[in-house]
Amino acid sequence: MENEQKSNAKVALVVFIIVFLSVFVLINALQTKNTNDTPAIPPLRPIPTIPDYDRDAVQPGRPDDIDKQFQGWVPDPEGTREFLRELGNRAQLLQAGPDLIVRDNEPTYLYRALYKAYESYRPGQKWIVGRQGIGDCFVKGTLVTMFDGTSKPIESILLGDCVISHIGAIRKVENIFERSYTGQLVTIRAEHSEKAVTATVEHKFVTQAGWKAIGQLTTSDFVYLPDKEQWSVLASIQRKYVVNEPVYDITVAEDHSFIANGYGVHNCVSWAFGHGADIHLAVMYTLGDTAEWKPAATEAIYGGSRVEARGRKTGGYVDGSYGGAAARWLVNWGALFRLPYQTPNGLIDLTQYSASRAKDWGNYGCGGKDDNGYLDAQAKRHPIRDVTLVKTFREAAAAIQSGYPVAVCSNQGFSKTRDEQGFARPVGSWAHAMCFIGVRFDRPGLLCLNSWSNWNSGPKYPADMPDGSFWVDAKVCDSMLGRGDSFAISGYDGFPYRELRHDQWVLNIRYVDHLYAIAP
Amino acid sequence: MQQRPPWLLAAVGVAVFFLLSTRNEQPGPLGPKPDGPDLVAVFRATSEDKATARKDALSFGVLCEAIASMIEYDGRRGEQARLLTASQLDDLRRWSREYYLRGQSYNTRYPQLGEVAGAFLDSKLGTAGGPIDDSCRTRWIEAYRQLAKCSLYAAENLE
Repeated sequence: MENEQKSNAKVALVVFIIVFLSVFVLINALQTKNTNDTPAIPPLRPIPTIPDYDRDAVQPGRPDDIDKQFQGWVPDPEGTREFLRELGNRAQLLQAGPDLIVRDNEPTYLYRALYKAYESYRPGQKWIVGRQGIGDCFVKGTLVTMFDGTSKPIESILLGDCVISHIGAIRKVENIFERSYTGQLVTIRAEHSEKAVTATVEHKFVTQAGWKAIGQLTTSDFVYLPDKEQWSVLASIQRKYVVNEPVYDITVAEDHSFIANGYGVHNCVSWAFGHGADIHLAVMYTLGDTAEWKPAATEAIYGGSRVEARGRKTGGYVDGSYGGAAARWLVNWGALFRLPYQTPNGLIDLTQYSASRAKDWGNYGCGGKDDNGYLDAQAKRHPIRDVTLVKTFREAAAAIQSGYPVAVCSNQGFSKTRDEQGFARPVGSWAHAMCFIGVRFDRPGLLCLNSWSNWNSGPKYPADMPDGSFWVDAKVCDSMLGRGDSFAISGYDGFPYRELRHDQWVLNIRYVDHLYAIAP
Repeated sequence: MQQRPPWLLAAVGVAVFFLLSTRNEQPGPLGPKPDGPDLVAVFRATSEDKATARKDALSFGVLCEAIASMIEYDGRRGEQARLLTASQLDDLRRWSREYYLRGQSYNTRYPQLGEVAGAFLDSKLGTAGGPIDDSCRTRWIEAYRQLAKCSLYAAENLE
């Protein structure tokens, strides 16, 4: 009997061990399978309550929606996934693509990232649209060639006047700009020209020794006379310091160019894509993806989009470009910046916009005639990772919500006056490029940035929207984008990563510093 | 006294071995003082309320462990990994703390914590914010696990 009991106990124990081992092996097998297919969510300890911290208190300026997005990420696996996805959205900047989805109906104002980035780039200064674009202005008395071959002083040009564009077409003057200039004006006259040219000091001229600012020219320099197609030594140079001297510029329909003493070109495609690149880099900067922000030089985009991106040897002096070519240039080459570049042919200073350089590079390509690809190689250090064709308001809205501005090329014109909600009425026809930099849904529309600076007026919404910008209704956006020449700009390579501060992460930070533009 | 048969002792030994090996997958006892920064001093030096200091040390340890687990989890996602640069890891830990403390800061009560933890992380991770490889990712995981151990040790040893 005792032996039988011992035998039963032995059997029971063996069965127990076999069952135990089987269960253990099964659990391990399941865990291994789980690891091979989809990584298991790491086990996390339960979060202790921290009663002394007010967990419901929200810092001033901290968007409430962050709570919803991040809710529960620490304690549960789904939350962990959500957090990583959100991190991916914000820190890595997902590639724009056809699956762009509007996340919610929250407005997004990308220009605020630009304001923030510019403050770090030029401490104490605010970003102003067209700041780099008004470096080359013309003085009172500069003669503009009119439609009938006569000339008229630039200050006498009226809205609606017709002038000759660079392509020889008759175009209507749409805007007139006047600003007050304090600084040096320089007047030069070439030996083989009866025309003198007066310009603001930063205006660059092509010489046989390369590009030189007008303020750096001497009487031993040879300058190029486009109208005579010859080099000529300078006969005279006069300098004058002026205080609050009025200087002028105009914009012209369709070609956006006019002839003023042989100089002057205004290109919109390069500005639209330049704004797009600047704003996207600003978004990356405010996210901490880069440690640096600097504005793009539009002349390179213009020249590159006309020559290199189209596989040409020369682009000619007929003005203009199109969005697809600018997009191709930015992806396959990249951006130059508002910096001085030391090249084998001398210093090329891009710190100020130069219309004459844009015109020259528009013919010879980025870098000009004798560059031999040197500045093309420099541009390749900072390519845009992706440009995505955007055809509808919804796609553009999704791109903007993800931090990608949209350069838009269309024929749509707009009124000069914004309505009470900041919208501009569609009117007329502009063959023009601008940039969408914000989205709202209370009255669905996109915020359009025009490089013409203070060309329009009327109420602003929000109050800090840039001068020269205006809201465009969603239906009008669909029409503009439907032309198929508008692109979202995403990803910008070649910038330095920030240095880590390991002593800072436990400290308090202003949350908005890490969010690019979600509206309060 | 009746002698236990050898097969029974062996069976019990096997069972105990497997039970212990299974238990080791869960967070175990803290044991001796871990290598790394002395967070006992950090939490003790600045808090008059030891109970609060213990809770805060525990929460900091949990946060560090969570960060390490998140980095590890993301690294196992292969090509789908999101955290590809040290700057992104920096964002992860900032946002983690931000969310976890609802915008509050450990610095409020423990002004030495940033400096002490920072010096440890400096020595382990360097300061480059650029792309990370598997080796670098492993260093981050190990460093944050180590920081977690030090903090949890502090939580259990604050007197």
